[in-house]
Amino acid sequence: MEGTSEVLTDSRPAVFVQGAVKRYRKFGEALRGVNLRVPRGSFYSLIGSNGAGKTTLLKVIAGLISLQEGRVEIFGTTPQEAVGKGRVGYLPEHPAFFPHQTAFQQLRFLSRLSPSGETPELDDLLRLFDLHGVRDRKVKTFSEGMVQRLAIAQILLQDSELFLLDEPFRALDPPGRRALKDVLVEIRRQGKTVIMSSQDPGDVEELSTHILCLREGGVVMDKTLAEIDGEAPYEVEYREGTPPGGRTLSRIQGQEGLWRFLSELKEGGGELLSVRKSVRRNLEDLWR
Amino acid sequence: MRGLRSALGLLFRELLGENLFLFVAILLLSLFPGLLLLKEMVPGGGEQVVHPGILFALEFVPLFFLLVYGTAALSRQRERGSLSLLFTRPLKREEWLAAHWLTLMGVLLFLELTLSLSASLFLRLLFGAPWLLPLGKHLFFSLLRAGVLTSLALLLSATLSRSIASTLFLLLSLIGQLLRSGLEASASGGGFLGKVVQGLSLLLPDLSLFDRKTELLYGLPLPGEIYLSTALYALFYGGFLFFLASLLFRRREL
Repeated sequence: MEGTSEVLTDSRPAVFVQGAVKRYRKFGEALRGVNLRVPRGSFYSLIGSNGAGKTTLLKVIAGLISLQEGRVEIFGTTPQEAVGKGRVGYLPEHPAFFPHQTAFQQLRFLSRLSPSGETPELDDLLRLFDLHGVRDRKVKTFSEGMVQRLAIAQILLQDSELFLLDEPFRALDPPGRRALKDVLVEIRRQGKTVIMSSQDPGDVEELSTHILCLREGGVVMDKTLAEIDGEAPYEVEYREGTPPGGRTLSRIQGQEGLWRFLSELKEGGGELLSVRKSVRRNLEDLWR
Repeated sequence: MRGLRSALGLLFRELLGENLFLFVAILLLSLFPGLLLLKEMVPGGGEQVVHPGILFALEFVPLFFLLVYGTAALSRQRERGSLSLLFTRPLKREEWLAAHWLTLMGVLLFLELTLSLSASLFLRLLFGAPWLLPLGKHLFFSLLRAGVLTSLALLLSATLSRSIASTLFLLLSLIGQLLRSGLEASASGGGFLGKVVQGLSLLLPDLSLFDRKTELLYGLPLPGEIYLSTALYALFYGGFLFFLASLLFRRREL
């Protein structure tokens, strides 16, 4: 029986949100009946303009705020239960540490809270995010980018199965971005689940398997990247044959449309310069 | 329990790191009223066995300390955003609250012991007072009072903003100090106001129970029941406030 129950638990999604409604007295509805089913091992990106409800949704999943209506499950349990078992790693939008602790002391303290109580190689972790040189400096002397790196390092302290990342690339310099991307790719490779909010279409395109777009607290799109890729228009760069012209760029929807356009271009003596899918442009449109 | 132990270490370091200079200032400030009164009253002290100024300082220290740090403890962390990193880890909010209570009480114990010992030494050297002053007895009541006030400060800090928490703390402490006189006045006056005061006295902290300055000053005997009843009051009322604080803190959105 135990085996059966284990199988049933495993078949549940990493995150299941049903009819989530969150109202604030001052700001009104932040979430309006959000439904979400995040399969295990997927990389979900939450996109949408400022105030769309991304941070609120992540906080609800992390169990930091409660809902007026609806329910949330993480691996079939409540968020609090999943957090209590150390199955969730959370990176807030504006991480804040205890200012009088050093980077090393912060990580050591947080690592002792992990369910195993084991302290991983903290120095290696600090080295990974280029913080080893400042391991004994108090966090109050850190720049915003250094605090962000330390906050990213802390999510790797415990062996979480679900990572909730609220704008993780915020304030990072290019080496920091590279290090974080490598970590996220490795997390995805290990079959762990990630939900990340982002304002950068490039990061979303590079990392995600699924994209959820929120607008004014409601879901306006929930698709896989492959589906979005299929719907994305082709960007065709060409030169007209008659009359001869300069470089022109056209956006053409669908494969059939592309073939028709290319045959017309050939017949007119035009020259094809390049064809590419503009997923990023398509994603950018979702922010509008 | 592992969470509690780790939290204690961090909070002690944080409190000392943040406030070392202020601790020294509190110590000096708390000695000041004691010294001032000592100069005026000891020469004609008669039967006095310990000076009221020092006892006043022992009461003043926890109040001031908790007003500044106790009421800001959790509210500041919440406003800063440190709590969301903590409570997405296997750390219970009750553990965090208990760690704060123990840290604040630990620091208070240190401050009051330092103050008591320095006062005893001061009195001994200047006025030849006996070493075994009843400061120990006063310390007992003072720490019980500090325990109740610490729970009150954490209750306010867990739920309210820093400014509101400190204002309410000051107000409730003052009411608590004057509650006994209010009750006595209302008992003689009667009427609606009397009933209101009596009703409130059941809810508000009665800090006058811990005020044993008169007995200690004049060396009056204190029956064992007083020690016991005061300790029980501190245990139950302080425990009730702590329970309420953890209940509200558990539901607090971050």
